[in-house]
Amino acid sequence: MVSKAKSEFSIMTDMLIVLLVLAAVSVYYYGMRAAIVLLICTAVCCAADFICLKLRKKEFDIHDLSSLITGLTLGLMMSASVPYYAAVVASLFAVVIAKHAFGGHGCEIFNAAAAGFLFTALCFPDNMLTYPQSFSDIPYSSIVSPDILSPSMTKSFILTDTSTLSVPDILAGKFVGPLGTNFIIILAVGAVFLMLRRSVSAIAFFAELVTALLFAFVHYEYDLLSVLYFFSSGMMLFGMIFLSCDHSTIPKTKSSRAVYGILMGACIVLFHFYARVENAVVYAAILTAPLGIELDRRALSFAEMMNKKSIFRRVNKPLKHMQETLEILDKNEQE
Amino acid sequence: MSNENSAKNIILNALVKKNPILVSGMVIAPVVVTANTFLSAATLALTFSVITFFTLVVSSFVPKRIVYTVRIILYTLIGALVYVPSVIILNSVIPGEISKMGIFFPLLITNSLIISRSETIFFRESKGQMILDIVFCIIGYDAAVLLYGLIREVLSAGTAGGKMLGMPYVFSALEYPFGGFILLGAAAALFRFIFMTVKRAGQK
Repeated sequence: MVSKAKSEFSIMTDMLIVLLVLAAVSVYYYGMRAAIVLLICTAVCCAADFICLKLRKKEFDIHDLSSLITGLTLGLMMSASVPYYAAVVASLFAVVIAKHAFGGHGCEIFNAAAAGFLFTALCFPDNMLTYPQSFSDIPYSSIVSPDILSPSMTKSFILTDTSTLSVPDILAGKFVGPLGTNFIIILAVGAVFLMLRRSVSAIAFFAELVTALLFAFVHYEYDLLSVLYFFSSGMMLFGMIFLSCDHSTIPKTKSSRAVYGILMGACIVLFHFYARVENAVVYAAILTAPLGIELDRRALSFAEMMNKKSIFRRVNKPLKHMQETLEILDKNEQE
Repeated sequence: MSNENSAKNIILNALVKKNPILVSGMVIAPVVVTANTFLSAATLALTFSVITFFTLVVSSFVPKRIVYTVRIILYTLIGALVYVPSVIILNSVIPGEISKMGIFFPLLITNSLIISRSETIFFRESKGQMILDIVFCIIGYDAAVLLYGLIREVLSAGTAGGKMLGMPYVFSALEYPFGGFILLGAAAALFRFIFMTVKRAGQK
């Protein structure tokens, strides 16, 4: 139990490091208003988490950094000009409805940040999906004049399937979009760091990436630049790391993670290319997350079924992932 | 048994303890999808009341000797028969509103309240107690739907019965079924919390 807590704390610390780097860069790009938005999201998430725990008569665990991660993830998905009340509503929804209504940390069926963002985007679409230019003066008032705001690069890319941005600008994240989801190089380095530290499932991440990549290549007729635009738009890489590979909602077995990643990639493709929605990865994360539990159940029943077959007992060569599934089940039962 | 079937107990059960929506979670699909304003909630409450009342009253005459499977089919047939005059009457009372409910209006003939009340409760009650139970069950449902529709309209559109309230913020996501589902869940949780708190205070 102690080792499990340590391991979870270690995962959350790694994620926090990457999120803090992104937060620092977003403050550099968008100024102090970005810092205020990030602070509001983080503070409201932590306060709401603390109050919910007290109301549910549960102990507050100092090692549980989940509310801090939810707050930062949510903040980085917001526009730098988002009204402060929208940030508060998103954070409250994420923690109270998407997290504690389902039983708190570890019991969520949706990524809390994705649910909070989606709810607020549906409530305040004009404020949530319009963005200021980077390195521009953004007033500190809650409501920012729409004159300095414009739709994201994703919106124009979805409509026209092309963009005029240069490759260096794309890689440096110098285009209109959310606070901390545009920095492709930092996100790529962060993804490698998290996978090497085993804080993010490499299987799920690559399954998702390859599925989306293959379709994008075919759709854009092997045009590398268009594929780059696709991956830099709509919080794609950010969502793949922090929303779909969230350790609370991701399946527990390797085979389930691979299937989950493919499903997630397919959902991204459907939402981006056919539904033509902005931020397809958020919708995909919401839709695919509840399947994680079911995939684990299917993997388990398949493993049990195969173990019952005499041939497997005789040759004594049970498949590796089946053993792993049973071990996880035993561990969970013991706990 | 006599205490359980007392008028006070029947009324309290139907209105509060086993409120069809807020406690039992019955017939919630039309509420979540259609009741997004006070007017649509009132339409739903009216149609539900007419169909459920007459279907349950007629269904109570179905002999108990008939096997369960056949009884259920008979209840649905009675519901379908009640539906036809209900459409004619309601269309003249609230013209145009019924069609807005779409598929959820005809689906009311198979609502779970009809089966659950007629099969689990009415077998144990006299005709008078049964009528009392039906009436207060419907009142409990209607009151919850009307209050829910009003709150949903205020929060999602900033209006009450179509009149502007001047709300600083509105949450338009609550107009959609997923938002309605969340609001209904929150309302049910709050209702149960208040009920349990009052009950505990009464016990002390």
